[in-house]
Amino acid sequence: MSNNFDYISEYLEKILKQDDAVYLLIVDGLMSYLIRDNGRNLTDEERARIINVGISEQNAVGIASGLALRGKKPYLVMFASFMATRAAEQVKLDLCYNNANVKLIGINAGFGRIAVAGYSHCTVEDIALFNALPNLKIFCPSNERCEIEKVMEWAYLNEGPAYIRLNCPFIDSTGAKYDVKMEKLSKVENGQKTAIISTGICLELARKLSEGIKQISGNKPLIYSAHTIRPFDEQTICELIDQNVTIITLEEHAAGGLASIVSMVIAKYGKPVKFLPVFSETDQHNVVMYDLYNGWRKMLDIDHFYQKYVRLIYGSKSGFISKDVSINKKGAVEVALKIGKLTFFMKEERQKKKKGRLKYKYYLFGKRIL
Amino acid sequence: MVNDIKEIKKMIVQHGCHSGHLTSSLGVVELLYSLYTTINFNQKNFKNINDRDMVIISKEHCRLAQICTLSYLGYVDEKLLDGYMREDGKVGHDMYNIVGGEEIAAVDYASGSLGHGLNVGAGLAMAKPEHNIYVVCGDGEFQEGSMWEALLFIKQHNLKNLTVIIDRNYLQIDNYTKNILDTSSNIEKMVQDFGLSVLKCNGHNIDEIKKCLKEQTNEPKCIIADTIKGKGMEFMLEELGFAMFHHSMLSEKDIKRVYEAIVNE
Repeated sequence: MSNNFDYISEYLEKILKQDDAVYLLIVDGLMSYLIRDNGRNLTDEERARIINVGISEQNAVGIASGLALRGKKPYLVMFASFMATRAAEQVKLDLCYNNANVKLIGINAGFGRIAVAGYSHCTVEDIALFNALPNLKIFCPSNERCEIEKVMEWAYLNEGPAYIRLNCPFIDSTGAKYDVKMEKLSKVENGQKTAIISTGICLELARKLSEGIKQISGNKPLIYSAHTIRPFDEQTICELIDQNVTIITLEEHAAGGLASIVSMVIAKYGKPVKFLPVFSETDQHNVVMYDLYNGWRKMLDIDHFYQKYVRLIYGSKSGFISKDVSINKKGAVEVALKIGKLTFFMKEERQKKKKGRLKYKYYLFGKRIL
Repeated sequence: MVNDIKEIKKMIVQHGCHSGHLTSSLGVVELLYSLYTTINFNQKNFKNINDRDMVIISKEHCRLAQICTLSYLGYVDEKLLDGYMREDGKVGHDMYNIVGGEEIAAVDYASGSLGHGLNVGAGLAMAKPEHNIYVVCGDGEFQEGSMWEALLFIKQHNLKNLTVIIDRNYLQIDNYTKNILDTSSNIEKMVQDFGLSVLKCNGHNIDEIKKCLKEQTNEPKCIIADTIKGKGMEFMLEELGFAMFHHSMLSEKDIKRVYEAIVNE
């Protein structure tokens, strides 16, 4: 199976060929990745509908809105971080207020692989921001291909502005197949007593967490993937509350994202339920800084990528994030993780490798998870 | 024609004298009147956005002038303007047919924030080369960086069906542009350097404006229309001060003076 980013690229090429109303707009930097073989498979007419707007995000959103208001179907692909904050007013007015049929595809959302570049390139505020805008639909599919396919298909078939938040290209699909219904939570795995709701590539973490919870409590948790953030599937949350299930949310986002949306449903429903929101708080932006201090190359290996998630579970007060970490003589840190009434422990080990580089091992509930 | 302008101006004073942007609106009446009577925009096609030219008001402060002009020419109902910029009104900075419905089908785009219209206009122009797009911008508006992004794009893609119209009145809310960020005195050269063909006209002379609109140019066209902000009540700038002149919330006495000045202009 091809990489998710390649899939997006192939898909865009396909609709560019089949529908002459489709325009593909890019804000520099992605053309060579997104358009395969310099567009050799495309005709001149098709190539003319691919526009590199240049390093001008605000302009790009305006241009896309203009195209849409004249009946075209523009897809604007750029780094999510610049879409959400740099061009926010253009998204609000040109696109949402005018209800322009533009599909925004933000790549490298969340911490993404591009997080090595620093906080500027992380996107942990887009859901909160976009959720406040009129008319805009928000999708945040996981790394699983079945979700991405469904979301892309929906976006093509439905009118109106939509934002597709992708974390690719870093984590690829595992090829898992489950039933994906648009505007609903997807049940990825069945279980009981605890439900883990993740959005985006946190599905990977949800699976790992699920294993740990099963080991310690004997109950396998339910796993849901929230690929549609707006409109949000309140009904499923209400059903979980009725069954008195503990709800854990996982996301690569600051306050205002999935955790906030789920809390609102719980509050609205008016019944008590155990709830553990796991998201990136402000000081967790240090996550990136920390890794930068330790050399950005390290971030490129998979271990470091996962560390970020593990740190999200630690919570901000663990002290692990700051540079002055106190580690015991054996080089291990234990951190408490509270889920409902239960307290679990997480252990991290640092071992010095031969060449002086540090190696990290992560244990959750006594089992090495990373 | 002179009479038409006077009637539209009277309408503007009637609706805008209590709150909001009277002066910005009075400065562009001739411009908008010339536009709507020259371009491919008429009673038969104005409801079908895909079958006619479009006018984008990028400097949203002259929304009142647009609605009054359209109303005078019979494209929207004057009733729309009841309660302009007030809680019980329908029109403020921005109104748009998708939000406002069929009754304002003649109004093409709304943002209310500066530095948006030209970018959207470029997209509209690109989507349908057979129809023309006219974007009315302010000179002060060129202090927004996005305007220059749009100019670069217009030149790069040679969008000759797009006409940039700069309403140059040398004023922004707080002061003369030259005292804040001068995007007025040298705008002709600046836009030329971005590769557009620049034409100049007196923004209060309908014949001159129409001539510019019809003229063919080698590059995408930019018309710089020299205007006087608050034409007809410009004598009040000193009395009211810059900000109040812009926002123009007038006393009953002043409303009378302005009205008389416009009638006798």
